[in-house]
Amino acid sequence: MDQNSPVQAPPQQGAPGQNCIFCSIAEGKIQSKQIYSDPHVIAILDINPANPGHVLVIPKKHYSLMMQIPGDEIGHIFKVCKKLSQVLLHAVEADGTNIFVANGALAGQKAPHFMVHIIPRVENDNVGLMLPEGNVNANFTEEMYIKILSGVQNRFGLTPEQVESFASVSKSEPVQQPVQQPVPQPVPEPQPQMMEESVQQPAPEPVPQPEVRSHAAHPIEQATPTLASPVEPHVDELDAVSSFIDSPQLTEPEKKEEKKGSILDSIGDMFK
Amino acid sequence: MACKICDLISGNKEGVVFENDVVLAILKSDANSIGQVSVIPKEHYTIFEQVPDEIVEIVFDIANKLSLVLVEAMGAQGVNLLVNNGISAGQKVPHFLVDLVPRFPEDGVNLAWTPKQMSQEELSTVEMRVKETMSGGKEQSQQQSQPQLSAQAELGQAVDSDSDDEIQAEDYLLKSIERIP
Repeated sequence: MDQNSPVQAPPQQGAPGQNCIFCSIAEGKIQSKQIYSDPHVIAILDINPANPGHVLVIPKKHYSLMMQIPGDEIGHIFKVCKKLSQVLLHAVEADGTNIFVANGALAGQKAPHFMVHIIPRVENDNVGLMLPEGNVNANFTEEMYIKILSGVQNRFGLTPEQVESFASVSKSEPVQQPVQQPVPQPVPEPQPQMMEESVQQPAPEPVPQPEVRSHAAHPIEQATPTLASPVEPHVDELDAVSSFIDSPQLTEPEKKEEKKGSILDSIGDMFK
Repeated sequence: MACKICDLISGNKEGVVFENDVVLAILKSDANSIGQVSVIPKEHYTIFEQVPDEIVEIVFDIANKLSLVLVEAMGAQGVNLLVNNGISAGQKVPHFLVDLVPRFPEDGVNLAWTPKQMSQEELSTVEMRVKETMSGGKEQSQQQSQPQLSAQAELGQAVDSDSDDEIQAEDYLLKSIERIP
């Protein structure tokens, strides 16, 4: 994993876990409405919920991002989420639940401690949590697809043949050609104030492309992460955890300079 | 029962980013945002509560690894993981899946919600009801309830048992899902 990861969780002071509100909650140092606990995770009620019964599932061990969490812990966390989802359906008479994770401030992560939201839903509750409909620029490009396949091959430890078995590229050119080189990372250095930075538009990389058949619904076009309808960056998209606990003394983490790349430095080894 | 996702899994798939015996991960052609990947168990489960533990482990482990791949490959600056469980939660097809949404500045995605204000009493009431639901199930399961599971017994199994194969979710939830066209 390279140093220049653009995904930055909200910063915290001190060492990971130190001064972390959720670590303190997990340790019982701060009061919370705890509804479940086991050796690895706790679950608490969010006291500014999207809906009554909004639960936060939190690993007791401090992780900033989901990608830092080993596979077996992830499995345990989401098995707990499954059971709690069922409990909530009955407890608050909901007829649906959302399981939601925000990794990175731009995704709406507010706290520097990984958590899963379980949000009970009822019809017409106006909670939101909706992906935009009919987004015309959502079509993925061949370039993007090949980059993703290259990453999958690396991160999942697959052979080129294994990737080819499910990849929808022409068999005349093997997929392995682009994946033997390190995938060029067009993302620039992470900015200190990530949430206020201007739009980063990575230059399209001229990856040597095998002959590919175009996806029926997707014209081949330059990959760009920006979309036709500019939306102001929602720096405070989610207030879900802004005052999640009973104590009035705690404040939100300051938006200080994040540790550049430090959060994801160790991730590379975790998945190998 | 015609399931669009089951048809997709067994059909001519394009945009597959990972596949094994248990799971399919695919760039959605009707994605709502760039690079959206759905991680789908090949076995048909309508809602989250029906998915066996071993499949939950596999699906979310793969989703987690793919989140990292999306960050690296696309330069995403964030990733959301979202499960829409039930029509009220925005579930569009009656087949459980996990959506991964890479995030970029001004990507037109807004997954925000407005927090509701709840009093301490209201929160305590919810807390009590949740705990009652969880503990009420324990007594039932110890009594070895009938195959026709009551809601409480289901929960007792859900909370205590490692084997979730017999978990049947609420009929209402299932029926409402299966009415999805």
